[in-house]
Amino acid sequence: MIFVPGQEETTTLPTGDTMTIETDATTLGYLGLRVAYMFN
Amino acid sequence: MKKIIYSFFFAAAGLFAAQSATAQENVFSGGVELALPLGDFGEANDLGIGASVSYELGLTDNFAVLANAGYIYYMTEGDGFTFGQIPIQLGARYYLAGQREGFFAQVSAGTHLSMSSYDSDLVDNETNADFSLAPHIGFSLRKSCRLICVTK
Repeated sequence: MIFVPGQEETTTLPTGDTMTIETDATTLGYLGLRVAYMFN
Repeated sequence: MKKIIYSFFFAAAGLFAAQSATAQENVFSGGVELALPLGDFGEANDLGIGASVSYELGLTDNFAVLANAGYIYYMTEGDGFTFGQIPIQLGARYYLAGQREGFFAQVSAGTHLSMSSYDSDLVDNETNADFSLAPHIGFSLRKSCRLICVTK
């Protein structure tokens, strides 16, 4: 599980106006499989 | 009678020494990984493939701490878009059967560096570091083989 905090990003448009994009905090997840060779 | 006692003593001492060596043994491993994204993450990304290295520091026959790092590349459908992650984690592993072999449970925590890159110059490439937590279950074959070899 990867916990991604919310973000607020402000961009200045070519017109001079500013645009703010807010994203909510979210959790990303993946199911993993690892096959490993152990060196010793 | 003394021979039997001495034999038993040396056998016990040898067994103890073998267990101590097992407990303190450190192991380096290299592996390949598959990652199946779930939920919203899965809607944006397809299967991930990658490689990782891990270093395991044995504390007892059952317990070890480890560090691992790797790279996972996700096969996404968008043209000109590449997404990958670098997981860097520390963890604790508990072997259910002891002797650091067989089934184990593990918890790792650390960070995932998520890297988005675009072919277009209009969009900046992005790298974010986020906290990650990963429960694991697994099975180790290595000790079984090694113990058989030692017994021979």
